[in-house]
Parts: sequence; C-alpha cells; structure tokens
Amino acid sequence: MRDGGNVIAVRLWTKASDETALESCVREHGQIVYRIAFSVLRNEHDAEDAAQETFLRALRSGRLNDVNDSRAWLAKIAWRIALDHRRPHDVGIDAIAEPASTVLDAENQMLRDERTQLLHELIRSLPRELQDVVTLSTVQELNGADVAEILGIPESSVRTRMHRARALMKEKLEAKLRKGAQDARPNR
Amino acid sequence: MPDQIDSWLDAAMADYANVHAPLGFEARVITRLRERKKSRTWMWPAVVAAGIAIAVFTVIADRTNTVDLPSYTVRIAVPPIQRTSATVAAPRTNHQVLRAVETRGVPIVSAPVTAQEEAILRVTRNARAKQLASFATDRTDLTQEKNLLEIQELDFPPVAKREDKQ
Repeated sequence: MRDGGNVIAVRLWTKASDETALESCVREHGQIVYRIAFSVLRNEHDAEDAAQETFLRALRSGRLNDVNDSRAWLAKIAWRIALDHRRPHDVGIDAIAEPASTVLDAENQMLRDERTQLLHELIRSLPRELQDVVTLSTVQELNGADVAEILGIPESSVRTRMHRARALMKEKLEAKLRKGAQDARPNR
Repeated sequence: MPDQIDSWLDAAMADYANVHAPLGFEARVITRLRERKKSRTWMWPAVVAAGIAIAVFTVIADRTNTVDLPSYTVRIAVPPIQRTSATVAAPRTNHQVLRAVETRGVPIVSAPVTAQEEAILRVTRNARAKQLASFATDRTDLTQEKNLLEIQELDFPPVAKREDKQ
C-alpha cells in the first residue's frame, strides 16, 4: 500500500485534538473507509455507521502515533468492523440499496439495479475466501497489494482467487442465462 | 457468448464499485466524533467528582457511626514476692560463719509499668533469689580444696574454741 498519506494530521489529531487535523484525516480517508464498509454491507446507513465507528476506534486505540501507513490501518479496521456489522441473512436482493448516483433515466437505473443485484447474488454465492477478494476488489482505491495486505495473504493469492472467482461467476451466469433461455422457449 | 458474459461482468463490476459516500458524510462523521470527544472530556471530571464525593461521604459516615466500644477491666493474678531464707558460708574467712541471709526482691521502680511487665519483673526477681539461695546451700569452699595439696598443720577448728570459751 502506498504511503500513509496525512500521517502528521493523524498524529496531531490524537495528540492535541487539533480540529483541523481531525477534519483533514476524515476528509482524506473518509471515502475509502466508507467504500470498504459499503462493499461489505451494501447499505448507506450501515456503511456510514461502520465508517464512523472506524474513526472512533482508531481514535480510542491511541496507536495512531505508531502507525506509519494510516490509510492501510484504517482500511483494515473498516474491513473488520464491516464484517462484524454484516448480518448473514439480511443482505438479500431486497436489502441492496444503491447509493445516490447521478441523474439517470428510470429505465437505465432499473437495468443497473438489476445488474447490480444479479452480480451481488453471484458474489454472495461464492466461497468465503473468494467472496472477500472480490468484495475488496470492487473498492476503487484498492489494488491487488492493498487487498492482500488487508486480508493478510500474498498478492499472488489475490490474483489467483480473483481469477477463480471470475471463472465461477461466469460459469454460474452462463448457467443462469441458459436456464432463462430454456424457460423462455416453451412460451413461444 | 463468453465475450458477452465477460463484458457484462466488467460492466456489472464497474457499477458495483461505483460507490460514493453520501453528501455531508464527512461532516456528519466529524460532528459525531466531536460530540463523542466532548462527552468523554466531560465524563472524566464527573467521574473524579463522584469519586471524591463518595470518599467524603464514606469518611463522614464513618465518623458519625463510630460505636463506643465497651471498656473491659481485666485483673491479672500476679504472684507475690517470695522471700527465701538460706544460710550462706563466708568463703574468705577461715571460720565458717553461718549467717542467715534473707533475700528480698529488688524495690519496685516507680516507673509506670503495666501489670504484665510487673509480673515479669517479679518472676525474674524470684528466680534470682532462688539462685542466691542455691549458692548458699552449697557449702563447698574452693579455698579449702586448694589447701588439700598442701601439708596442713593441725589446727583446732574455731568453732571448738568458741565452745571451749563458752
């Protein structure tokens, strides 16, 4: 993971409760923390709560002075908190809420929602180890090395798992399309 | 078909990853963190004040609720001073004078001593008196034992002389 970013700001935040440093820290790492939380929870409110808890836990830990890469550290905390917040049975298709997006017409929005829901189903059907890799890979700021660091696995394993996950998702998607085509034929 | 699926997956993944935090997210987080910090800063003085109040209350309650303990008078039986009579031989004179020696205890010091201390003093005094008495009853005179190595002249014992005079 690249350099920890505003490390000095984080240190000032913990040491002297500098309001400016606090703001800059949240503003700098807020997006990635939120995206990691949302990638797991797929819900705006839950993701915001998890992001807030991430910063609060970082503040309480008092270890920010020792952390060189605050971005990676916060990302790990956010990932763990999001996993803790994730309830195994309530994240179904109905619970998926797409975050606020740009203005789109209703049809496009509906198609996107449908596609996102289908992909979410596919991801959730994967084994846990593959699921984690795919979930973190959807976070824009994270590359393979970042994902490897958060999950505590080698970067090569991330690539392998991502490849396997994609192959499995394609396989399932093909099966689903075939089944859909077969269901559609008798009607004609 | 596989290419279509690949492109579908890519597009779906791009949409899936297209996540932005809602407007005002950072401000809300900062506000909440500040509120938490304020509550925490107020918490500690409150905890300290509560601790002090509890301590003061405990001390006051302890003072007001002190129960007068009943006083007990204990009488300790102290053995009286024993007086021992014995006869002591005067070793430096040739004449064995039998004297009646009466040992008395050491006068009691007027210093304020407890009953227990006084009892100990008395016991030690009696022990000393008994020791002196044992010396008195032992009539062996070492000076006479020394004279056994020398040729002694015949001499009448002084007691006999006294009897003659009488």
